[in-house]
Amino acid sequence: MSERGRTDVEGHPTAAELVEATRGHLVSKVIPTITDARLRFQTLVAAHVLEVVAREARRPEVAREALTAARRELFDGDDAALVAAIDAGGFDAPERSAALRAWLMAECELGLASWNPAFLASARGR
Amino acid sequence: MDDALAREITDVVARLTGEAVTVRAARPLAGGASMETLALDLTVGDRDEALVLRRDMAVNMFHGALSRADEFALLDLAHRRGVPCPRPRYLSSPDAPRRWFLMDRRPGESVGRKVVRDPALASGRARLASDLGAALAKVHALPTVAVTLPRPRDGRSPALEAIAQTRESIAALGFTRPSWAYLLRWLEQRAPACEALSVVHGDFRVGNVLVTPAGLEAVIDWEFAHLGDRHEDLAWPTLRDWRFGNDAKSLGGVGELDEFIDAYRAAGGAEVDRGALAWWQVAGNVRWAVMCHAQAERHLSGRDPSVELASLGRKGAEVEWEALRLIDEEERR
Repeated sequence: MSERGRTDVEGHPTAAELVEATRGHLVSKVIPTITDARLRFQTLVAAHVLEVVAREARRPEVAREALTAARRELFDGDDAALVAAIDAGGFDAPERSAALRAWLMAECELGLASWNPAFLASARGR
Repeated sequence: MDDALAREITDVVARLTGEAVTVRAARPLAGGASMETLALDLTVGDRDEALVLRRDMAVNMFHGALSRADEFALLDLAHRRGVPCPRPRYLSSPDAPRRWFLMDRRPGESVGRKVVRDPALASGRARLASDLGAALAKVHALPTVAVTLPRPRDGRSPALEAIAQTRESIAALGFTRPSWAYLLRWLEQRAPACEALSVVHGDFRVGNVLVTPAGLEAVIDWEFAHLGDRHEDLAWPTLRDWRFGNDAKSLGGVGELDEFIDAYRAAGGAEVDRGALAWWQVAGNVRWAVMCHAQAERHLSGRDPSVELASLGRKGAEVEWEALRLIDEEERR
């Protein structure tokens, strides 16, 4: 995905492009030279982490905003207050429970879209 | 292997056997983070022995894990009672600074990714779900009085003990998440009773068993054994993360749940309560999700710098999502 010419960012190239360049360096220049199996594995993990960071940097702000808005509709308060409300039985009623569960799954899904986009495709329905 | 350990091993084995002992070769084995594991070739008298060393780390991070002496005793019992597992052979003396034992080295692959994919293991994979079921029935038939194992504290049921342990792990982390509060409350309100405690392996899954083209060779990694609800062991190998990417096969990426349960029953395992099984599936995922964040915390705290550990925190989202999905399924039933 080319972001050339974009001006609405802090710098050029974008953060995602720089992270991808670093990942490309690891994958094409560094990893092929590693003979130690453990170090090789750790470096492959590092390359994957950079891929995750690049995807997250590209995620449209609106995705997080929509989740935050949905959360406010469900419960107005921070995480500690929500935990206290859950512990006090505030989400025991079936509809409240189902609504919170759906929101919690959506929150996981936002993280998974960066961490492992293939996970949901494979996991849904099985 | 350092000279001091080699000397310690030859001394102990010579004392136990009354024969001359030499260490011919030693190489590290890929193993868990909780234990040092070496493949060791000894000559004892005029015999060559192929062994595996399991040795405590300098710092033990897992509270509630068995001591090497208790693990040795449990393996000995399991081996004598016909559970497919390595025969334990030599135990270090009680005053060793880091205790260890040696057990027979058995053939086979343990790395989950390979067990699930290696074409050379296709024939072993085909029967692995039923082999696992049959082996687990033998584990659960072990007499609970014959070994020293951790048991639920304060008269709790195994289910409530599992919740208490997860809450303790969260307290040690120093933060919590709304998803964990939600999941633990769901579990607490539905905790199943357990009519009789069994010997539970505690980490029974693909990845902790040796597999050959002939099927299951041996159950290994017994350090989390305890007295508990056998449904914990029945549920754990079905977790999505233990399918190692092969989601098409619900039992460990190698077979189907029904094959596993049918073989468990055929080998003498007691009836399986599907409600308790579902509860332990959710509980297992919750426990593993918290553990993912605990691994990340090992890096973040500076104790154990590692990008691999750091990244495991993000994997927690997969496991949490799965726990929530399982609840969704239960609630629609």
